[in-house]
Formats: sequence, C-alpha cells, structure tokens
Amino acid sequence: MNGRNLFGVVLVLVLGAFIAFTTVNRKVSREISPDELHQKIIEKTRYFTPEDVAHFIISEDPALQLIDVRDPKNHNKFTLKGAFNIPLNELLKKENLAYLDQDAYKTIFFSNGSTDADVAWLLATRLGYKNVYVMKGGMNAWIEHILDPREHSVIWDRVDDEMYQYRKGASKFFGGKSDEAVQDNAEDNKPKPKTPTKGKKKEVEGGCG
Amino acid sequence: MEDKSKKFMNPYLAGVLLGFVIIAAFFFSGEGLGGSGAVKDAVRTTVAKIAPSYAENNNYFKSAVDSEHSPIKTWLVFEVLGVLIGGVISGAFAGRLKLMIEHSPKISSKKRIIFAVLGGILFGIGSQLGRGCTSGAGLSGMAVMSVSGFLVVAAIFGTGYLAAWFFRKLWI
Amino acid sequence: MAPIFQQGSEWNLLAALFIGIAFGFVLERAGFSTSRKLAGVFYGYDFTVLKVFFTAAFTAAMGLLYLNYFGVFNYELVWMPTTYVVPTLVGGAIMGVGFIMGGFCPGTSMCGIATGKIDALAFVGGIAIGVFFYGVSYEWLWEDFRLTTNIGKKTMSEVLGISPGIAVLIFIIFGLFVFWLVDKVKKEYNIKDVEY
Repeated sequence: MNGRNLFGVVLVLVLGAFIAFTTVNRKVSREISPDELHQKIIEKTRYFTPEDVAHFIISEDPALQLIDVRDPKNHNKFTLKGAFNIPLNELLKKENLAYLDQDAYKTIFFSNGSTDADVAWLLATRLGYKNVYVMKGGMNAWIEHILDPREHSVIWDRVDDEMYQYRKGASKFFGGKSDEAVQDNAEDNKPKPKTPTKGKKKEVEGGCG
Repeated sequence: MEDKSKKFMNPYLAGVLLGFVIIAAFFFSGEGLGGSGAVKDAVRTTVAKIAPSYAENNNYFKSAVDSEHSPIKTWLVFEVLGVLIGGVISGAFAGRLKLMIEHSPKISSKKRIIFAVLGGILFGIGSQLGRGCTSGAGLSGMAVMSVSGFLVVAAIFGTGYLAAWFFRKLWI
Repeated sequence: MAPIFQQGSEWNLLAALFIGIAFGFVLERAGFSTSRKLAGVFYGYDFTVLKVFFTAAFTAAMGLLYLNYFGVFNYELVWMPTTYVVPTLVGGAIMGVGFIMGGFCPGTSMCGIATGKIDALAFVGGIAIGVFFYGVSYEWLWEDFRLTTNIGKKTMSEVLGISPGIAVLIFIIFGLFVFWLVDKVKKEYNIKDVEY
C-alpha cells in the first residue's frame, strides 16, 4: 500500500468514524415546502364549524384538544369547556409546542374570530404538525350559533367588549342600526383575510404552469 | 501496458468523484442516477406513438399514453443525454474516440454483437423487474443505504461471478 | 434545503444534463466505456469496476449523511426505493447474466456509445428489445410477481437495527476490506493483465 492510498484509507475512516456517531436529523424534513403549505391553505379542510366542536365537547371526544390562542385575560373571562390557553404570541415556546407535536389528538385552535387561530394553524402546519384544525368563526361564531343564536349582543359584550364596540361603531359607520346589521358586517369582514390568499394562488399557479 | 493504463483515472479517485456526482444528483434534484430509465422511456413512448390502441390496453405501456408524463422519466432522459456528452468529452481528451467493435481476440465481431444484444435483452428485462439497473437501483440505492440497492448489487455481482465460468470464452 | 430544484422544472432538467455530463465524464475516465475492462472484474484481471463502484457508493452514502448533518439535506424528500425482496433478487440475477454476456450495464453502455463502441450500441438495442419484451409479457409474467415480498422503503440501518451512521461506517470498512482482498487475490493467483 503506497502513501497516497494509505492517506485515502485514513481519511475515509476518520470521516466515517465521525459521522457514525451523529444522528440523522429527520426533523428538518417535516417543515413543509411553500407549495405544500399553499395547497393546505387553499383547501379548507382545516375548519370545524362551532357545531362540530360543540358536538365533540358534548360527546366527550377523548381525542379532542382545544387550544385557546387568545390572551389570558379573554381566556379567563370565558372559554370553551376543557380548552387550555396558549396565547398566540407564546405559541412557539418549547413547552407549548410539546402540546402540538403529536398525532394522537386533534388539536382545534380558536380565537375570537378565525384569524388568530388561522395564524396558529399556519405556524403549526409549517412546523409539520399533523391533526391541527381551526374552529371557523371562533368565539364570535360560537356565541352566535351555539350559545344564543338570537340575542347575542349581551354575551358579546361580556366576551369581547372591544370587538363589540368596534363592530357597533363600524355598523354605524356603514349606516347600519340594528344588531342584525352588526352581524351582517361581521359576515362581510370574514372573507377579508382570504382575499390575499386568492391573489397568491393565481401567482403561484401561473409560475408552475 | 503501463502507459495505456495511465490514461485511465485511479479507480479510487474516480469512485470518489462518482460519489460526488451522485450526491449532486440527490442534492440538486432529489433523484438517483440511472441508465436504463431513459431507454425504457423511449421504448414506452415509441410503443404509445406507433400502436396507441395496443398501449392503451397494456398495463405496462398504458402510463406512457397519458399526456401527464412523469417528470422523473424526462429527468433520466436528460441525464442520459448528458452521459453521452460527458463520455464524448472525456473520450476526446484521452484520445479514445474510435469507431470499433471491441472484443476478445478469440471471438469474432459477429459473436460479440450477438452476445451484446442478448446481454442487453436480459438487462432490459432485469432492470424493469429489479426497478433499475446497476447505476439506478444499485449505486443510487446504496447511496441512500436502501436495502433494495444492496440486494440488487449482491444479485448482479453474485450471478455475474456464477455465470462467468460459462462465458469465459467470450472474454479471456 | 435539498433538493434544490423542483421536479419537472426546466432548471431541474438542466441540472440533469450537467449531472449526466459529469457522470459520463467520470465513467469514461475510469475506463467504463470498454466492456473488456468491465468484464475483468468477473475474471480477476481488472477490479476497477468493483473499486470505483464501492468507493462511489460509500462516498455518496457518507456525503449525504454529512449534508444531512449540516442541515441542508433531507432523506425524506428524495428518491428512496421500495424494497421488494424477491423481484429485486431475480431482476438482479437476470441482470448479472446480462452483464457477463453483454459486458456492459446500461449506464456504461451509454458511455461506450459515446466513445464509438458498436457493441455498446448493440447492447442498448438489446435493452430496448428487453424492455419491449417485458412490456408485452407484463400482464401474464411480471405484473403480480413484481409486487410480491414488499418490505417497504427500508434502509440497511433499519433492518440491522443500528444507527445510519454506524451502518455507513460498516459499509466503508467492508468496502476497504474488499479492496484489500481483491488486490491480494490478484497478486496471490498471479492473474495476468489483459491487453485491451
């Protein structure tokens, strides 16, 4: 064996010995690509309606994990039965991620509307977590549809005064007077976050085709 | 002899470089290298073009009829075109470009061609059954440490050694 | 994060072309464009194939582990074959006989064509015939058989129950041992070089 071969053998063995004691990192892989994420965003399969959630709670679904992503103040005022609180701005803390990083439970995020819960869902999905969902319409819809479908104004007041005041204000601004108009405005506001998504869809599809 | 063998690269160095090529294939495209895939694609596309109704009813040729063509196949076609170009470049540098039928002095050119075709036929069948050839299933499979890659290499070289005795007159 | 290019994109095809060029260049440099050198591995007069082949395989296996270690490569996003034990072994055995008869494998035959070997062209013609025959006889010979003994996308480390790094190290040591062994065999039995 000449010197050059010996050098090669030693080099390969040293490199091999080093890598032998590392572990293969598969975690990176679970972060999904922008394309996949986009696909999941435009599929609406992440949504459960408040009725679905109510059904899960009543039937005491053992695989249910409700996560309230509002701030603790709102959470302590009123929340869903069995829900625990992970405020959106603390979602990425390690101890909180431990709740999300599993397959056994179906995790349903909710906030006052859909937006904050959607953000939480987006982050969790981006991290590759499975089985994460959003309660569509959030607590507002919950109260409207489940707690008191008719006389919602009183309970609204209790759950989120600010939101209620804002909507009342907005309703006045748009010329509405009654509570029904408030509700209509709330409906009108809902598609708002979706609009940029639609624009993005076109862009990406154009790029691929 | 001495200066002739010098024209070939040191096998270990060539191996390391080939390893880097495999890594590049995985790194840039997420694909393994291949040799037979392009031929397979060419055959399937040809059959689908010439006899579309037959191909439609054959489970093997059927997928080539679809307008949605699997991109991996096209990747392999481009890769094999590259192999041809790379071979010409290297051969030109080493002065090895020469039209010839290479065979052991003990056999005729005709015999060599016949056995080359027979060997090709077997490779064609075997590579479809084994899901890739020496480079595709074997080399790339071993690079990702897949069981399939090791099995196919063991089978190819194992049978090669077993059969070598019967065909020794072809080579030595 | 690897893979860099998306499947089916033009960039990916361009990458394929360049990777192919590098592949062809190295194969030709190593002497894989000549069938007599390739066949030498089975008669002990030239072990180049074995050396190049195993060096390439463990270099790539180790390199991919390193890329993974540095967080730029991810095994789950790249090609990984499903293992069908018996079809793979039978297919490999058929290819083994084809190798000794034809003196090429598909990749090297492309290289042979590039340097003007007419026998390599005949070999590729043979592959096309073989693929055609396989396709014609697919439904009654192969279709069911090729799907038997499926053990999934298994890696050696999973089967042996060791970490991937250790598996690669064992593979390297095995490869080096084989290199030493074949040189010793050639010397011991005093196998003559063959002129080609």
